[in-house]
Amino acid sequence: MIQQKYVSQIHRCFRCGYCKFPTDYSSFNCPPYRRFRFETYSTGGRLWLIYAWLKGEIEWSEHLAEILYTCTTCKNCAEQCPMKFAPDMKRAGYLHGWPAFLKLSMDMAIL
Amino acid sequence: MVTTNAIYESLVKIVGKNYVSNQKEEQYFYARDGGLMPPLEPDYVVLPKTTEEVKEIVKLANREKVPVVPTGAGLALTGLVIPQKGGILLDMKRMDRILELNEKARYVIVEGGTTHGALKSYLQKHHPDLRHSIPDSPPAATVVANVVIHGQGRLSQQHGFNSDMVSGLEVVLPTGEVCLIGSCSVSSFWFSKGAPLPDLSGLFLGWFGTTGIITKLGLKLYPCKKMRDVMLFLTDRVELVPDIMLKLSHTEMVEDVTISAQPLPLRYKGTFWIMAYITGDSEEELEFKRKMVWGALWGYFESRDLGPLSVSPDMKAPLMSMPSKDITRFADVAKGGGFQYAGPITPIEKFPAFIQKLEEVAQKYNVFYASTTRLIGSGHCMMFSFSFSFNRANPDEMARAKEALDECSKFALEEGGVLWKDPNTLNLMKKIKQLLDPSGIMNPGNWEAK
Repeated sequence: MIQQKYVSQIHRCFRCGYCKFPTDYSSFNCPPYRRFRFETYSTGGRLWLIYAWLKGEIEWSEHLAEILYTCTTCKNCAEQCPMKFAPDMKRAGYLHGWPAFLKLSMDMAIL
Repeated sequence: MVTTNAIYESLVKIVGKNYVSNQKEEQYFYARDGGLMPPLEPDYVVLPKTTEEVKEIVKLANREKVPVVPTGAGLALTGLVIPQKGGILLDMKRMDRILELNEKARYVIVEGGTTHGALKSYLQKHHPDLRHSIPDSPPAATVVANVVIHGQGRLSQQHGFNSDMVSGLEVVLPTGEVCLIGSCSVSSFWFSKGAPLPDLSGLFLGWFGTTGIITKLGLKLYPCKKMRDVMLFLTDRVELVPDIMLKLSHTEMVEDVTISAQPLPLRYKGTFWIMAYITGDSEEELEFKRKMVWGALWGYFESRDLGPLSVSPDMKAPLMSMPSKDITRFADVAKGGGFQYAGPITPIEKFPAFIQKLEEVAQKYNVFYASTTRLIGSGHCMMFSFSFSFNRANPDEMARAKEALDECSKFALEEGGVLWKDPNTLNLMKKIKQLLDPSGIMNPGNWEAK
């Protein structure tokens, strides 16, 4: 079950926050985080919210959609994340065809 | 008592509607940290930008008896910023300006949400001959949050806890007054948090944000030498580690001393990796310091109880990086994004007993572990971390990690250590807390003197 493949990885985000920074840490450069400044708009926020949604802890909502779809797909987080799981999740999303909105959300959250 | 909607409207009036949320998504996220404590949701998440806004929020909270929990990056990992009784969670990171730097008096003034990453970057770019004691936490950790938990960093061997390096405070008290603490209260300079006045910073440093909200902070800066190097030594004789630490400290040549112990990869098991960092403005200075360090440890080299390890460039890069991403990677050892540690402050002579306990407990509860120890203040004490990594998707593993952590914390107290994040019960603390926070609005239920 492809959902299980995602679920088994998505909770591995430690929300350390490296994803929000450029390499020299001079400022926050994740575009939606920089714009909205709630942690939910950072990559860590998206991953934790998607995980919560997959587990049924939160409902799909307009606000959740707004949070997920404000990602600009700049890929800064993929460059900065200290973990090694991001490419796996990206590949899984492309190869196995999630429902479109979730696939897009995942790609946005990770990339 | 006004209605919750009226409180929301009041908060909007103070900071603007873009910076207040009472929506489920923000409540869900800010109810949690990366550690083991159960989630509890705030009613509102608020992002203030100015001291005046913080002041107005606190006045509102004090008037309506609504809890207020200030947070930085939420990286303390022990539930310190999980709102135990709901209320207003203040994410301070919009207050992120570096306000002033005095090169001659070597201090910087930052706002209450400035990150260590941003300060490091600023110093490297604008004042490359100055540095601050950067902690091992990720760059998102804020300078203020680190000192209110008596954190330590890369200069702690020489200069003590990071909170010892504070040179002044601006604090919003739980009743809404704004206080300046230290030389800045009577002068335009922020060079001292106390002397020659009574040191009132002790009312806020080490109180984990339960006695006031620090909106500005003066921080001492130190010379940043042009060159830096690390020397790595290996021993399997745990009983010798305290003496090795003392010998290194006695040279007064090392900037930072840390000791790592971990069971994986297997070649690491049973060995202790001692890292001594040195700095210099020339290769001659570095070489002199290397000789001093080698001279101090020579007896152990001869007895073959300690060996120097050649450090390849690949190995050296993560050791030299500040902060190091390896700390975050440890959180993924269990492939599950969970990490919590107890970091008791304790005499260095306790190192062998603490290591023995860590290994026992890890085996007993079948959990992933690691330990990093940092020498603090020329050997006056050390921070010893009992660190456990766990899978957040595995409740059983989380329960075992929690039990392991609790057992280690209890042991540390019995051994005379002082837990970094322990709900100590001193009557004096209770009186001070009541005096400063008569309405009991500051992070109630969390780290209270009972």
